[in-house]
Amino acid sequence: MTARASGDEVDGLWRTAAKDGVIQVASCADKPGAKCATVVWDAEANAPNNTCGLRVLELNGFERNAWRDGWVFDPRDQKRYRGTLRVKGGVLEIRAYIGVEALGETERMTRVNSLPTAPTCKKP
Amino acid sequence: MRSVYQIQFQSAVILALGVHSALAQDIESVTMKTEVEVRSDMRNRGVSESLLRPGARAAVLVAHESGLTGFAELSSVSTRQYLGGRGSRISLAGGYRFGDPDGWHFGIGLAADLYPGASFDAPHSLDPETFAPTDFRRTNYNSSYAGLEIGWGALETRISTVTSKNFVGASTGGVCGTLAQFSSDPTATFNCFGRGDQTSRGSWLIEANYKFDLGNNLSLTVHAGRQIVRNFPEASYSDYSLSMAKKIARFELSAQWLGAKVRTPALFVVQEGDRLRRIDKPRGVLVATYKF
Repeated sequence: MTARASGDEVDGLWRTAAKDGVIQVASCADKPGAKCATVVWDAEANAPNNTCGLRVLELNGFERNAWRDGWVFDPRDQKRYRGTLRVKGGVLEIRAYIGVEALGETERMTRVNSLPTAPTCKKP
Repeated sequence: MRSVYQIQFQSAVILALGVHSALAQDIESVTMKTEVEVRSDMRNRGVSESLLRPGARAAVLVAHESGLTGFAELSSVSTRQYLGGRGSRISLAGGYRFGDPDGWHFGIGLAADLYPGASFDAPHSLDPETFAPTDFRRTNYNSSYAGLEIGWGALETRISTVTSKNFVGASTGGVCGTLAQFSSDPTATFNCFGRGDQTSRGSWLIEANYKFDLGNNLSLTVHAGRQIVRNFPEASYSDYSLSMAKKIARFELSAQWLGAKVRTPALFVVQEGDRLRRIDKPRGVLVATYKF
């Protein structure tokens, strides 16, 4: 099975559009068949309220070219939303929404091969 | 009309700053988003509502997981344009949205624009013998709408019809009376009054928007609109805008170029002292929005 067909193309490191964070998307270690995303770099990693190590996404199934059925977390308002995750045109698209997909907003992230050298997350 | 489906809902998952504790909490079923904004010119459908001066607005959007949404907005407007008013416009809307944001998606809604205290007296006919304006009556600017949104990906189209008696005061008094005051063409005034006493209920507002995501939190939005004012074709007009926006944390800064292409410039003139000012002319506008 190809990565595209299985949804594994979302795996890897992705940088936020604001360039203030990097997440790592991978299969959930504690939930077989699901995808998880964790903050592995935060531009303010040295601040006491940094997001290093924070799980910000957990989606349980892949259908219609996207990971669905789960949640995404917005650290800014400390709330969880329904969500979808897909790669489109080489860009990772995370959509957070209330109830129906039409009531949401998409965050687009760029793939990176490595983490910035500083600051370093102490709890990746 | 700044309808409920005109507002982008901001439930982003940006990994900015935050605190650990993502787990052990329920998925949101209702949410409320607020934004405040300052603008160098308060434009509505390409036309200035602030007499080309800076203004501000605040808006609240509430959404339920069923797809139902509610919206309220308070904007500053010019009391020289909205006579006798308190210098504000209150917009209220409710609607329902559904569909796939990357494919076909839809919205239906009702909306109203209220201009508290604002009204004007204007003639609704001409004296058949002297041709002097007569039958002065009071009209307010309040308007209500029913609308439908159809979108495909980043393309959004909307069509709304005016359900109130008039569209922002576009009555025989509002349109023909303004022509009598500012138009240099008496034939246009006679023709307008010659249609008898009319309202603009049933006017149509059509618009299309396309948003290009340029990456790095930068976007370009292209807008085109058409206002078809029923019974007053001289008041119909088109509007357009180009907007470049940059999101920086909770702020959004944008530079816009917008204006209107009108058929009858005399209907888009406001008297300020000895000066007549056109409120439809193309202009650059700067906008700063804070979302929370």
